Amino acid sequence: MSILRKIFIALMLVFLYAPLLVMTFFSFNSSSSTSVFEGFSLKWYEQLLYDSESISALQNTLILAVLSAVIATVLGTVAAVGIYKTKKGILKTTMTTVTNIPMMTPEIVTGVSLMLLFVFMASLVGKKEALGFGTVLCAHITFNLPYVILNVLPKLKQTDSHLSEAAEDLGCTPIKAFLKVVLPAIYPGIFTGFIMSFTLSLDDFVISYFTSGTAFQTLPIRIYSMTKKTVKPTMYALSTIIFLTVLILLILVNLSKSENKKSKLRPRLMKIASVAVCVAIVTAMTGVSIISRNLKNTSIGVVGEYDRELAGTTLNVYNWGEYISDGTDDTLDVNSAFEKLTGIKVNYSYFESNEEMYAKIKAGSSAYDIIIPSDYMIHRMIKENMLKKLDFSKISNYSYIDEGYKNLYFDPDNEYSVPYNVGMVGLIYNSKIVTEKPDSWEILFDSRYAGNILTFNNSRDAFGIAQFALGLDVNSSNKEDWAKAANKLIEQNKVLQARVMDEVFNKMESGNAALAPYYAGDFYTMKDANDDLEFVYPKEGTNIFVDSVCVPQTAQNYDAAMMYINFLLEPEVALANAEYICYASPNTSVINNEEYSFKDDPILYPPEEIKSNTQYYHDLDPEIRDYYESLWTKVRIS
Amino acid sequence: MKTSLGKRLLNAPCAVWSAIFIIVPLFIVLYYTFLDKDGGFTLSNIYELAQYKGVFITSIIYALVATAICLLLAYPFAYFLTKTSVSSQKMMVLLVMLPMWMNLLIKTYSWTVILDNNGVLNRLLNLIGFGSVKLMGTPGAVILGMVYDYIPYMILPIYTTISKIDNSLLEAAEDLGSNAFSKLKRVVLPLSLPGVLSGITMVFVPSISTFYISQKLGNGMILLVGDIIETQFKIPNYPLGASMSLVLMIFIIISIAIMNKFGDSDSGGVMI
Amino acid sequence: MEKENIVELKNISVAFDGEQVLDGLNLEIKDKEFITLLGPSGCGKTTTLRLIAGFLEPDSGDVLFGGEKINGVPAYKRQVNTIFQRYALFPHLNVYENIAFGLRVKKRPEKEIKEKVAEMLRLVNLTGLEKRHIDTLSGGQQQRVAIARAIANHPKVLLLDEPLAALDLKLRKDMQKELKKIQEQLGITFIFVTHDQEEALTMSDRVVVMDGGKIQQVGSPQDIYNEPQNAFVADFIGESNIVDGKMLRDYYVEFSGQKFDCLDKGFNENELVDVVVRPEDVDIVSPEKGMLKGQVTSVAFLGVHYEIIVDIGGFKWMIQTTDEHFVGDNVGLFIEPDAIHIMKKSEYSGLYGDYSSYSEEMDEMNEMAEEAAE
Repeated sequence: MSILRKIFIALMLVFLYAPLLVMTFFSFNSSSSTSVFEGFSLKWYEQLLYDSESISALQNTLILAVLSAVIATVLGTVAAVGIYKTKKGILKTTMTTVTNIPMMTPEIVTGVSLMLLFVFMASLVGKKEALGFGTVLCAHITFNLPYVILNVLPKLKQTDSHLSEAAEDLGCTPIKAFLKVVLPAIYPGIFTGFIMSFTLSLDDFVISYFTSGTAFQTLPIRIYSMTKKTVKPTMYALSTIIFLTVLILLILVNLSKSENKKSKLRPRLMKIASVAVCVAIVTAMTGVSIISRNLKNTSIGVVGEYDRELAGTTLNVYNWGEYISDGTDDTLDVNSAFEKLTGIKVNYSYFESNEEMYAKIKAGSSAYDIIIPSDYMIHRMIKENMLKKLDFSKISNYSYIDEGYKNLYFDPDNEYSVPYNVGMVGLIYNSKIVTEKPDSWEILFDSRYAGNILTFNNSRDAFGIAQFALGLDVNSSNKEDWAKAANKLIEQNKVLQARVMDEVFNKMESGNAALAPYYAGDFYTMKDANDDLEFVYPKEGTNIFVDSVCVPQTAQNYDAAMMYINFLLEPEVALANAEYICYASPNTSVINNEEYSFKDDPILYPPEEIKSNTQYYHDLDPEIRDYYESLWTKVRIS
Repeated sequence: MKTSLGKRLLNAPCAVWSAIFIIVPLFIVLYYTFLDKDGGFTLSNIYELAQYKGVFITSIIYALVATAICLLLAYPFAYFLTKTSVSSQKMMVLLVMLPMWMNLLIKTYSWTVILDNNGVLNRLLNLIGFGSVKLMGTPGAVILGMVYDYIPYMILPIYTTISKIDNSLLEAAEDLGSNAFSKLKRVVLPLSLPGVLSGITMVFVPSISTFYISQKLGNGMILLVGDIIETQFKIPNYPLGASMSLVLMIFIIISIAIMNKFGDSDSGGVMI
Repeated sequence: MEKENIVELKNISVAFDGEQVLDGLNLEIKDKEFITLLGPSGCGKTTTLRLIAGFLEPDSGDVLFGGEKINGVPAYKRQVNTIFQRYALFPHLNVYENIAFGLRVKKRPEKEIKEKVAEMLRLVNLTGLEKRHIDTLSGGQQQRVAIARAIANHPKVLLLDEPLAALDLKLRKDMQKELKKIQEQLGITFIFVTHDQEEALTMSDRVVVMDGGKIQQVGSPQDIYNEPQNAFVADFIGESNIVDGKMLRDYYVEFSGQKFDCLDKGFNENELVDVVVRPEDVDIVSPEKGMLKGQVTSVAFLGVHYEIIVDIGGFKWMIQTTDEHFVGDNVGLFIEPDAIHIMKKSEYSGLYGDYSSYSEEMDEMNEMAEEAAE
């Protein structure tokens, strides 16, 4: 083989493995930065021990992948045989065409349309919880099916049709003949179909997201839901472990297959070794998830009264990713503590945006008991009668809520929601590049910083910046106001480096960008990694938001939900959450706690003159909403 | 000969499954495509698509370029692979498959680490004396992401078809006067066409409907059809999202049908 | 006048994975002759062919073509063409394009290609099938396309690697004649590889019998049959009774406990030799008239003759005769001096020529197993 060929193959392998190596490299970083390597550390691997949710998400992913691949393989093989045996005609053409459709459908369409289907089917049988493991499984089987058929069919065509006749001639029933003779002949195709299905299923998050219910989270969904905060390096650690395990397994399997004439012992040894590795992994995973549960800090003192009457029931909680203290770094594991206290099992799942959460609740697909939307979304859901009134007699800890966060516009009579976190949008800048101290949103439109400016990659937040800069009402019902803001945003395109959500962390921390609007609490995460970063609330005012705990109409375990809400308001729980999430707390027991590390922090708890210069986003008329969304698309296209 | 009832019954499980999980959802998409705000029938969602013409064209171009690059890289790679020893071929195939089992989100995220202004690649460039190059947010970065994520789906079917070519055919061609190049052109290429067609389908379809790659590697500044569809389903504006999906699907199905006709392949497709 | 050598193999050795496939092989092939490489599976005959075609380079030794060394010349530059065992027709091309393949590679003008293909189709009797797809052809037709495709290139030498193995008996016989006809018509060298001795004898000008990577004997079909050089050749070509003997002096040999006159000479006195007697050369007579005495142990009727196995002192002889005998008959054998052929002892002595485990079916099955193993 010529040198050039070798170089080409080597370069391709470098290309294929570059991101995996980068991932592995930074999983050993002692800081959470993915741009600067600050020293070797096993910190993230250690933290993985505490992350029982990621481990169980991984388990779920594997179970789903194997199961869906197996069923799709069986179904697809039978279908391929059926198609093969059917004479050319309408039936045959229809079958081949129809089974190919999932391959040609954009994932998100498959996901949403299947979700709607499942909801419809559930309503037919009067089931409230439409989505669950079964539905994700069905969805995965569906998109795996064409790959199995496409792999098996050619093998069937290659198979001698006399094979099964010969077997039948020798006394096999047709089914037995198929199993004994045809099946082995088409086995390579079946195997390939299985592997393809497994691979596709392992990696899918769009379809899984829309079709999975309260109790079932996969690893890709978990990673995707981290996008409001940041992808944690523990995910790099976990991926590195998966990567190395698979690599070792592949090498072992390959060695066991290689026909080594000299030693018959080696293949057998390798087979034993690969089985041993598999067993070790399963054991390790189970072990870790058991250990991590026990390792976690669940000890807590409570003020409210909790009984164990509802022990054994399940509570489905639907929250933003990374939006609760989860036991990593020896923090309090809120959910486990609640489970321990009440005996109620908490099913915790994540959403990535208010709109996604809304879409799922609206479709009536899942019976969540607790959701934590933002203000404007609560406003909308109340209007659309999607929320249940809370029974405040059971939420004694409501008294801890700061008066300033009661009677807010979206819930004027405090009937539907209990504030969970408060945030404000501010301007983060790199003082090395931006030497003046900015005081206006206008700097985000300043051509001097062209290429260094970031903004939000979601419509309402991005519009908000332009509206504040222009002095417009962020809740305007005047289309012209929105059009003006849109023009401002189109103008901004010239100076923008990127529209970001969680990418803001990496870009600001590494100095890739100099200016970005983001949520106040997240500034501290970035400041930790890059001391040059500073924060300011621009003079034109800014957006304030409250994420509040609500109970949707579809809730199944209302009493447990009340207990959970009360629990979240417990001083110790609220403190743990406030410390973990870094957002401002509406809980007076936290705000006044001397031990609270952000006590009187000027950014999280700014002085009154800044606070009074803020606006909540309101839910707008559908017409305005559609209008600004179409403007948003226009802004992004131009 | 008539297909016997028993044989036709073999189609039943999959037919039922397809009817429920493929056909019905398709009708749901169709239903929303023609749904107006008050639940009546409308064509306005289709008309509205006109303003997204540019995005459609951009997406098609991106997907085509990504597919072409995949083909140009994957074909020689697969071809050279078949020339190596059997045991190293096995190993290499596994090495190509391994990245497919890693999470797409994490992989794409890693690329941002490599391509950023202060990223790994620019640091390397600086080290050897080149200045920094803006990579993130360029069309190149998005196409690179597509090529990276989907190239195994191009390599594997091509590799399979080439490695299945009977060696005696290659010898026959050589015997009849073909040098290495003409052997490739006249025998290997035409015989591996089914693999190429499968590969093209499996790269083109996900490329044209991706949104994660363009969001991450395009810095949120490059908008593809997939992004818009995703936004519509999240807002949620199902009718617009559904009509876009429908148009996209029709486009995909037509182009694949044309390609397969052109390729005259009745082998149905080869995967790995 | 002696014809020129077109292909010469000089002291060729080839090994695969440490296994010697060809071992110091020397062979000269004359221009315009029909030469057959004959031998069992694994004897090295196909390897020899691939050396000439250029698919394989020898570990040592030279390949000469028209007197010039062509080691290292790639296959596509050699003036030889091959008909492959399973034809290796291109499945993506139709009959016309398959035949035109070599001409297109050489970038001949379209008109010439058209004429040439038409001529080839006529030659192999396939006119009218130009547009047919390869997989719609019968085995015999595919065979003809393969021939047409190979000779369309005007090779000086045509290599045929068991081309008739996949055809049924009747078709095979017809194709044998046709190939011979084509060879005479074209006036080029055919190097034909087969394991079928009958095929080799019918078609060839010369036969090369090979085994174990070595040439055992080269000669005309008559030479090979009548004057086998060792037990291997004697057994592989036709049926033979091979017994141990002792050459008492010239023209006088002792075997099976009796002394016989023969026509062979040039051996040392009392040299141990292998004695070959072809089954059709033995007459069965009454025991008292026989030179050897024995008992019939099996009789098979084959249409033209009977095949009779006679036990003589524990050694089973095969005799072909038109007279009927019965199992258990005591008979005598009569052997003319010119029916006795004496060979020097070789590594094959004692391995062949005893019919005690004889069964025609067994032979065939062994052959099939060997083929399958290939």
